Amino acid sequence: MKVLEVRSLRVRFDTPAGPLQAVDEFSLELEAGETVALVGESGSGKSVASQAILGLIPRPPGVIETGEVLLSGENLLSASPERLRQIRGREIAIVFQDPTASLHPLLPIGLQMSEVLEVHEGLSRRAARVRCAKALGEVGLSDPEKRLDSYPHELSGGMRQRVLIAMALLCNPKVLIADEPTTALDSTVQVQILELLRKLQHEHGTAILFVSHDLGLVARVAKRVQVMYAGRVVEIADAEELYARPMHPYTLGLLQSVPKLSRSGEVRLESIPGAPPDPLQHVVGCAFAPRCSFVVDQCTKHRPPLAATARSVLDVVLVGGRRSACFERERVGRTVTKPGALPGDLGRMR
Amino acid sequence: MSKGAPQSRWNLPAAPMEALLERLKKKRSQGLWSIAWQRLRKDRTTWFAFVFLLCVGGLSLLAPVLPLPSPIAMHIGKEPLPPQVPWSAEGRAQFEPQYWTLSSLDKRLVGLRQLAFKQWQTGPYLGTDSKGRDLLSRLVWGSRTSLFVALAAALTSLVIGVLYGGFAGLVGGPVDRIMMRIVDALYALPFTFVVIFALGLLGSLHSVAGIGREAVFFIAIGALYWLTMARVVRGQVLSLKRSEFVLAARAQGAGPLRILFTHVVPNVLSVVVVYLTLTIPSVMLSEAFLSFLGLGVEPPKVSWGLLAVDALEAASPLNVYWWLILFPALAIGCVLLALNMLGDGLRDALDPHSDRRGVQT
Repeated sequence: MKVLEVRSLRVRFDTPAGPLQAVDEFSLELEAGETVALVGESGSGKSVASQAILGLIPRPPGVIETGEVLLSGENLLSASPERLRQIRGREIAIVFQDPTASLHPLLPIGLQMSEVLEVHEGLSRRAARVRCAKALGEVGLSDPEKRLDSYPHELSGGMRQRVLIAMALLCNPKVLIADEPTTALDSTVQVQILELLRKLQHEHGTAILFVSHDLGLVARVAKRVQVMYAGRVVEIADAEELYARPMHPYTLGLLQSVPKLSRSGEVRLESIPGAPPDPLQHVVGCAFAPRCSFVVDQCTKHRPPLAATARSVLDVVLVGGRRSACFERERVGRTVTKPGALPGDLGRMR
Repeated sequence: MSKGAPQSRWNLPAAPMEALLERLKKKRSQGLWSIAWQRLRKDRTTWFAFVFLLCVGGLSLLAPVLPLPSPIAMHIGKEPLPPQVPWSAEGRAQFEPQYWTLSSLDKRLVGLRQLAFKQWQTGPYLGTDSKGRDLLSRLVWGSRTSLFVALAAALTSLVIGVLYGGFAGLVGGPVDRIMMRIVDALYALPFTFVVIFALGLLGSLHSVAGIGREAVFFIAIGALYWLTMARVVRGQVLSLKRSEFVLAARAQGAGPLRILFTHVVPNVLSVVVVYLTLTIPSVMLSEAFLSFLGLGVEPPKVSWGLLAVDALEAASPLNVYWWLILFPALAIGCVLLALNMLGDGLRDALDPHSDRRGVQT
């Protein structure tokens, strides 16, 4: 059952330097209880897309040009502000990247958490407190009673993120958007947070949209992966297939530039040549073409559609399948043949 | 964690968790304000300053009821009396109800005083001035002017400044730019000159509008003392509006009013409080200064600035009447010090980061 569906979302920012197309033709499908990852580098539009789902884009300068965000069939983009407020935190919750900045520095944790319950369930502060203590216990904070009276600065980064996750799940939302939830944390804590998310997802049946730039992390959590580049989705695939056989040159480049433990230290880390396009410039054709080693004439003239790969036409009909926005997707897919060319560590981490 | 205990789904032993929840149900939860209040009470310096200011405020409000001599009853031809110990009978005269034109409430209070204390009045505990007027009485009555000025400045700062700045910051865009240019323009007016200029105009205005000198002073305060507050608040609101925790609150479904009052206001408040406690002393000082120059409060009314004028006039190379300058200066100094301490303490009380004094709640 689809809980969340985004159809051809376009978000533009009107900046003093001109219009900036942050998100273009973004689509997403999220089933109940599954995890979909949104991967891309900084500025690829993944955060904008995920915030646009909840209507959190500041307007102006942001403009949502077209698109639909369907939560169980209800279009959130045309919902009234009151309805949107009801949905935020209750149906769809979001955890932001920086747990320090996301917590109000002057309020004890308990007060901030109980706010969600006061807003959505009309609970008294005392009743809310009990629920919050439970939730803190659930995310593995010891001594929840004491923690309720702690201020954000008295907690560690990992604890703060746990608090935010607990807060996000207080009303048992259908969808949790995790916008780079582990970026500000060190790697051991990252793993703990991922485990926590997975455990909570299992218990609550929450669908998670996991936004990240870290392919290694994504490999651990997501069932399906959407790769974004310059505001567009360039590839959608099941995680395992994507890592085994990327079918977009950008995904291939990303995977090749992940550092590998198995290689000796003398090998130079590979990188994608060039830089991402200036988002203020209108690009004809494929935005990745200037950096692409598979480029053909067609690429600079027409924009490749996000189409199903030859093998998976049937999959598309049945399960959504894998898609790639590249004219040469088959050729890209064939390049990865020898084992070890792709980061084996990713596979091992799962 | 013992293995045999039944596990709850929070991976904690069930029994302690249930006990904890039971305890929580009984405990009263605290809001931001009650926490700040507790911190304030535990911070002795601030609490002392707060109580001191309350006493000063109470004294000056109750001035008409207290058994003080009249602040303007003169005994000309005598040398100023030095301060007397309370049990000395020196200089104790009969109370004569002499005042400037008082408000009807004050008149009633003076009536009350005459009923309660009859002709009895306090002696010159702080001495008398060159015209034989009782210094203690003049100090207490003069504090009313200072208090009034401080209240006026605080009120305009709070009401106009905070609302104006907050609105500009929240709305942003061209509205904000225009509103802030107005502030800039008003900023360019030098306060003292405005008052002098307005007093010059007064001659022609007086017959028309009936605006007194004091009114001009208060209008000038009202027009100019909210400017910095507006700027400070606007800057705070502007940065808070974009802060991530406000975004996070929005993402949880908090409405605009809730965001304003639980997320923006407390953060602005510490700045407002600090700035207020800086504004009030500066206004009190500028009142004293203008009165000293003869531009503020007019005799026979009393203000702390006028007391300094009296002291200066009375002083001669042969005889410095120290009490005339010491006590008014002490009064101004103590009140300003208390205000500053209170401001600092309030800021600490509102900011959980500053537990540096080991104040634990």
